[in-house]
Amino acid sequence: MENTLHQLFASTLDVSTALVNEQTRREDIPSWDSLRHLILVAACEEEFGISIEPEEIAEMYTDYRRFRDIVLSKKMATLESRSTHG
Amino acid sequence: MARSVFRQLKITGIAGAVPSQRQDNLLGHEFCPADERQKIVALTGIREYRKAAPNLCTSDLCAAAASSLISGLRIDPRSIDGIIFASMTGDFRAPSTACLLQDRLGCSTSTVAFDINMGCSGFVVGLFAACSLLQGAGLKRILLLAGDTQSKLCHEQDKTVVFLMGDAGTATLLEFDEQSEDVGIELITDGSRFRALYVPAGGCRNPSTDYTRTVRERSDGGVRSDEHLYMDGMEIFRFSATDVVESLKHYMKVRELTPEKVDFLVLHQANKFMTDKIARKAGFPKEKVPYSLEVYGNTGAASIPLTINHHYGNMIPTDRNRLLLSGFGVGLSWGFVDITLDHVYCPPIVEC
Repeated sequence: MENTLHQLFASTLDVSTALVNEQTRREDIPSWDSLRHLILVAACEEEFGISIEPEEIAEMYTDYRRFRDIVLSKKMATLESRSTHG
Repeated sequence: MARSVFRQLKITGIAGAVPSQRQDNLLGHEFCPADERQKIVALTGIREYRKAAPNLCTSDLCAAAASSLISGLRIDPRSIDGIIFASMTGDFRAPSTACLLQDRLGCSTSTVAFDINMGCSGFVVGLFAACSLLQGAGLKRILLLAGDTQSKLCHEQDKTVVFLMGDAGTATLLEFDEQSEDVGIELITDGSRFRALYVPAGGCRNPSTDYTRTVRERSDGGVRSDEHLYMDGMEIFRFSATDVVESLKHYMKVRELTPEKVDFLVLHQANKFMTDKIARKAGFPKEKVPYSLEVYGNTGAASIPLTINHHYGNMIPTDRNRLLLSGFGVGLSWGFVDITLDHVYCPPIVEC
């Protein structure tokens, strides 16, 4: 799941996966503008079947680590919810 | 606090006008790669919009919409007591464009006419002013002209705005009516954040110079001069999807409105990703949230009345509908209106 997100992130922003790591900040990737960020969020919502809240979308616009943590926590919450109700 | 309830007034008709020239977001904007154009369209929901030719102004579009409304409703223009032009794209820096429209539409010189310099909240602010004139000043018939030609404010290669902003003008007729239901309106302003969406130069604060007219590549990926519209996309997203939503929920609570009691939630047509989030957070199902942005884009002050016209133009409104409206944008300014529309006249949208 983390690999899929890593690749999705890099391909949406047109950068090499080698350039995206825990230390990568928004300023490090010129193509990471607000429009691309929303495109990226929409792609994650579709890929992982999650819905990200507006406050979180703004919070994710800082660095890759925060972005990844929020997406993965959303996905985990979705899986846990399904197993509880399934 | 600018929260009021108005009585004994109604909206009789809403008309719209758009430029005939289409701007296709998938086929145009070739400065941007095709795959990215597709992603932007998928995100925003805006496949195309209308773009005004250099000699076509917001006032021309509003005048065309007003003429359609006046002739369709068969009213005498001299019976109109007030004209309000809500827009950030007037004809001249002085006088108010509303004055020109008074003459152009054949209204009497005893008409009160003034502009409201607002963008995407212009329609709700304009409704507040119109209702105040009807209820407080005793006027009987007000023409609210709301529109924008935002394409004139955007640089054609500024990716942050050029896929979104369309041009349109509208005309809404409000009249005194003893039988009408209450109209609730709340307006909110936060000028501390005005720089999130503004045109930095060309006014009296930063007058036009060679430097302010120079187009430069910016750190946000946009290309523009200081006399073009600047938008901090993430700040506006944060504002719209959090501040506006919280205010909307509070307004609904105060006015005892629920999604079940409201027939349609008409949001300013910012972009579909954002407005879908707003509607969902406010608890509205998709079928109660009409759109016009897929064909007209974000039309600034025109977007709410244009969406109502676009929506009702495709159906016969045989029932009374309770509408909740929300406009939000430059200022920062936002507001809400709850109003019942009863057989409102919506003629076909005019092309100019």
